Amino acid sequence: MAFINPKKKEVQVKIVYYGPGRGGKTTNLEFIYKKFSNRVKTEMVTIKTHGDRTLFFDFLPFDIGKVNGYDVKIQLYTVPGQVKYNATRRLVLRGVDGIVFVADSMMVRREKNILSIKNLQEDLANYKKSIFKIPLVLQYNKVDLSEQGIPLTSVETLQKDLNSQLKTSAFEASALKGTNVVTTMKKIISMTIATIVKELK
Amino acid sequence: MPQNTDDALVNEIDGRLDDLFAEDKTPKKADEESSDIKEYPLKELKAVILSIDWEITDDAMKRLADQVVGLKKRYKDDRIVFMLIQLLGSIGEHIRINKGKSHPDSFKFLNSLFKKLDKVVRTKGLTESEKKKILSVEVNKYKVLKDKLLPRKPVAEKGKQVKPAAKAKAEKADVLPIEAFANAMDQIRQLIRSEFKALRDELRSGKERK
Amino acid sequence: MSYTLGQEQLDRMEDILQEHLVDIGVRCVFLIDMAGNIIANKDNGKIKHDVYSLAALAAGNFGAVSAMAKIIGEGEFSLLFHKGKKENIHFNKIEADFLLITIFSNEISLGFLRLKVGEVAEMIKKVLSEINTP
Repeated sequence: MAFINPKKKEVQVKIVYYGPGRGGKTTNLEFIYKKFSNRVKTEMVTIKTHGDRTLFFDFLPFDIGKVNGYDVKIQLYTVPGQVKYNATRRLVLRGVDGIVFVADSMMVRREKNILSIKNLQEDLANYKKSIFKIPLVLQYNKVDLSEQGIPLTSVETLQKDLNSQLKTSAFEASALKGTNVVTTMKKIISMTIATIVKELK
Repeated sequence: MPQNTDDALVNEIDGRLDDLFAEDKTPKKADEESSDIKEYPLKELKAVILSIDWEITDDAMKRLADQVVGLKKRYKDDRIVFMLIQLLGSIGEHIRINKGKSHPDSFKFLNSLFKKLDKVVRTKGLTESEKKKILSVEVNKYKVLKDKLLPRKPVAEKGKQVKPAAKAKAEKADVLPIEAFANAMDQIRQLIRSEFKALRDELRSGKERK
Repeated sequence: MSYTLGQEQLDRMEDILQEHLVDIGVRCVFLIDMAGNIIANKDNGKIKHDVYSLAALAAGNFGAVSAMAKIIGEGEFSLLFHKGKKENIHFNKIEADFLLITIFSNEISLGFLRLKVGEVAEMIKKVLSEINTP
């Protein structure tokens, strides 16, 4: 539910980073915040527990300038990944325009990725949205861990697990090191804006 | 003058009797200022003022009006307190009639009036001139508030002179609140005018004495 | 689902916020949707809050409180208000999808503010209803 303000010539776009707990959603936002600190004029908002886990959401707003004469304001959110926060996760998804699904490449988390994407499908259905229609990008995070000898799920398997039906763009990434973090973000922004423009026509 | 003294005496006795034979209510913890007032006479009024601060309802405004009537009887011989209550009643009436159209400062004034009233009633041994000073500060506040309210009136009058079509439109939107407002202002003016005169006379006689 | 409001509707809503809230001394007021988007905002020109973050947090906060209400069997809490030493925030839901957030100092009586916000909510409701019935 992107909000378009013809008076201020402004579009507000809500993009949510979704995925299993400890998958690196907040790390994605933190990297973007640091990298573009000159552009992001406000503080990143986080609601965390003492243990540094996202309790409610992280929020990072920034302007990307004008598109078709409209000032585009991107608002990145993360959801709390832990299963127990289902209610708050759902709240954050309200009015979402685009989603980045951050999967955890570690072998031990394979099951959690699959459960989480199912959870996403249900949460979206709750708002009468289809996971197959909403702009969505997959990110296979933590690829840097292979250097430390940690067993990872292969990209082929991840594609089969998560993307065999969605058939959308997917990126291998390291949120910690910043690899493909910006690429993922650019992709979801352009997909989302394209969809909004199409809906408006 | 002798009559005044008698009144004060009767008042004091009445007060004592009220204290002695009042219905038993939970005894209010006496503080320094009101060690000899067992029942705080503004208790109900305070509750009403607090509830208006929280939510402005017809019920709360009615309760305020009732309190004003009761307290005016009780303090009919204490000119300063009586006038503070009078002012409180007038501004309460303004709020009751105008609700959301009331001037925002009305609420500040209402609270300030109650605070001063509370002070005058509770503080033992305030001299008459100290009390008068308190009252004149409030009267000045009232005047300032009144000046803020008045400029709206010419607008309404001008509206009456414009063409019928425009007038009809204006009436639909404005006349009700403006008329109510004008009525309230007239009431306040009438109520206060006599009090001002009395106050001026008193202040003048006070000056002359000095 | 995207929705859009016409320039004229936005103008009217901002005029309402200005005339009935900012002009009586409210510091800052904004109308948001439950997704946290800002639809209209006005302030007294003296303060600059990060309204986008405030909107995101307010929407989340209101959503959380509504969820709590449901759990304890209340449809909705009618009054949502945070009191500070100097600044206060008041939330008022408008229809199912919108939230009117008012930031005001202790100079303004809460009773009066609630009355004004109630009036403004009715006016905004009228303007918003025109989205569905253009």
